[in-house]
Amino acid sequence: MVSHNMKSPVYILSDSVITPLGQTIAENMDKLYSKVSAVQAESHEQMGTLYRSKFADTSTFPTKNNSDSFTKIERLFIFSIEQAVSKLSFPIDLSQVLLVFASTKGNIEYLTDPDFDHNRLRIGFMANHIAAYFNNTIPSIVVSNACISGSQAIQYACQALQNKKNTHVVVTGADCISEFVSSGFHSFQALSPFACTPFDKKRAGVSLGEGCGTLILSTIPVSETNIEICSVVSSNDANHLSGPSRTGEGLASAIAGAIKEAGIQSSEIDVISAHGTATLYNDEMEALAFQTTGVSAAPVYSVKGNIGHTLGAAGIIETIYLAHSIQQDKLIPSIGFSESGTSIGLNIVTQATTKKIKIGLKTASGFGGGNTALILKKQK
Amino acid sequence: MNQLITELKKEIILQLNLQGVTPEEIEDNAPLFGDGLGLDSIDVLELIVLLRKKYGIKVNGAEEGKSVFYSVQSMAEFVYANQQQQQQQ
Amino acid sequence: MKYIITRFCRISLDLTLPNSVRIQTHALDEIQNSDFFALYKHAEIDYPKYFKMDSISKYGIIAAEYLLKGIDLKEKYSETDMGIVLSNASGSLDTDAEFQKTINNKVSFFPSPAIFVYTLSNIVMGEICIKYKIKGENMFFLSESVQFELLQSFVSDLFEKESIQTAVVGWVEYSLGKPDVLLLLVEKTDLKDTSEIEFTSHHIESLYLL
Repeated sequence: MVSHNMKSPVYILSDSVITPLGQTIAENMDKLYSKVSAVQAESHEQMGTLYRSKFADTSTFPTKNNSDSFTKIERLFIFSIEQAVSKLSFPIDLSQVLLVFASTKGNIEYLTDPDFDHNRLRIGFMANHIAAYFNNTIPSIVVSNACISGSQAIQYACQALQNKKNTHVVVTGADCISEFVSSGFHSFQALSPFACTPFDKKRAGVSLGEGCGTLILSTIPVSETNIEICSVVSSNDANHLSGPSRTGEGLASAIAGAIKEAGIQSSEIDVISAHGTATLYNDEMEALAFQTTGVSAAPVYSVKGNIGHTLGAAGIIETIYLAHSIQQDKLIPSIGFSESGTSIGLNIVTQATTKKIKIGLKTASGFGGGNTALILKKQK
Repeated sequence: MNQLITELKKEIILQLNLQGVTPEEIEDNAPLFGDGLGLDSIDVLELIVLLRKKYGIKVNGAEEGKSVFYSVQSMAEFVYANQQQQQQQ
Repeated sequence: MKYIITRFCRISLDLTLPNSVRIQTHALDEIQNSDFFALYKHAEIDYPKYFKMDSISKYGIIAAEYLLKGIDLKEKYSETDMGIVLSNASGSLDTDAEFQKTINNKVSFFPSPAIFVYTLSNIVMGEICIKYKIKGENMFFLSESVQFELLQSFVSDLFEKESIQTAVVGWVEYSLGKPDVLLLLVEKTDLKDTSEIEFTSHHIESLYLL
């Protein structure tokens, strides 16, 4: 006999996105709809011209309490968490709530800094350090699984909520631009020599980005407009560390799993926010996976052309964008696209379009072979 | 040229961590990728770094890489040709 | 339905002999030379890719070899029914330092792709997935010390939802030359064999403290 737990749905009560596009969701969404990109050219002595989405050096993230002793990424986390909490219609005690973090490299840019407390290079320690700002001593959860970290942090949070271990969970993901990561992608010849163009025939690699996204989740909605997270399913290609499987079967497995767990048909997917990193292989693999799972007719877009690839933050930031797009019944255009560059033709969104949207799919794939598919739904 | 080939074989083994492989076991004209030594895409990138570091030669991307790194012989010819060019300049 | 630990592998630095590690599994308890080539030979693996890996992935593969020695998971389970949930404290910091060396010198700037590929916490897990074709749910947590309760509850939940039918679970830590590894194989059973080790946070901790 098969028994399943009756799962309560999980709702997004509040959120925050901090990227070079803006420090409020409204600013971010506005620029996405208007096809504005934060990806800019920057000259690097050894690597030439790099195209990336970076905060201006003068950017400040004004936290409620003094955070001068924190690093940029730590301050981003704190500021974003505070922003998300401030938008809640009721107070929550941040010292008592479970914090789930996602980051791939944390404070990596301080690796060579002899004056930096090297404990904070460990992301688990960094998370506790950030939690201490909120007087929070509950053991934080840190997910670090390459570019699917953000989506998986949401996966973990949903599980914790559905097991009634918590009533509210704060999920937050961030990564910052660093020479470390840029050099690595450069050595892979994976950096685009122009602002990246997902799914396009001329695409030539990624543009890196930085930012932070925070979600406040609960099994108890506070409004009919709270978007529901129906399912989050992960898989592994088990094929190659830094390139996706050529067949897309790993991602297809995750998508099929998410669709099944959400109790819907693939034809009900109204929009897809793809991982769309603009490498030759990723975008082709995603197209194949979309076809295999019967969702390739759905409008699809990638925001990597607007905010670059934000690594550990991507799964959270891009899920938040999708949630708002669903709420607003407005499709986000896929910037940089002009001619199809995948063997499977996709329905790429080229202009912000009003459309009745009920269900959206968010996909992510990462180094190490991980894939995650997440499904969002409007309550009514 | 023979000296260059032997040198390249040693460098390849070192750079790519090919445990238990001796220079004598690598045939000059055997394909390095696929069935040959079984090298993969990351190995091509490492070989590109090797040529840059050791010989100051830039290989642009995977397409050029395919023909340059076909075998040790093709690598040696590429390096040799570049060295000739550098000497002339 | 119970979840049980059917196999385990514990690797830690041996404090009695120099350059030695202690390897304890469900089947053996040995002190071995910690030289990576010696470990490879002793584990009787045939996997040349091992020599391209970073230190933490080598230990992960050695531990997985001992964990799964003599069985073929694919005979019992489909690839997507096999899951893996690992964790550690230092991520890939040891390898990060190695990669940093290749970019420190601004004149001789040669970032190494072969090293960079290992500069993510989860890559050790990726290598195990590739070797054993583990294609199901996978997750990597970072924490200062082993979170026994987290591993037990997260994995049990995946079993409950029938997302997985078996899982490799544990802690693969490597820092300053010191390995600290615990891998478990978790499976389901409805037999009431009392000699089986139930998959509880207490039992995970006991194996870690061996």
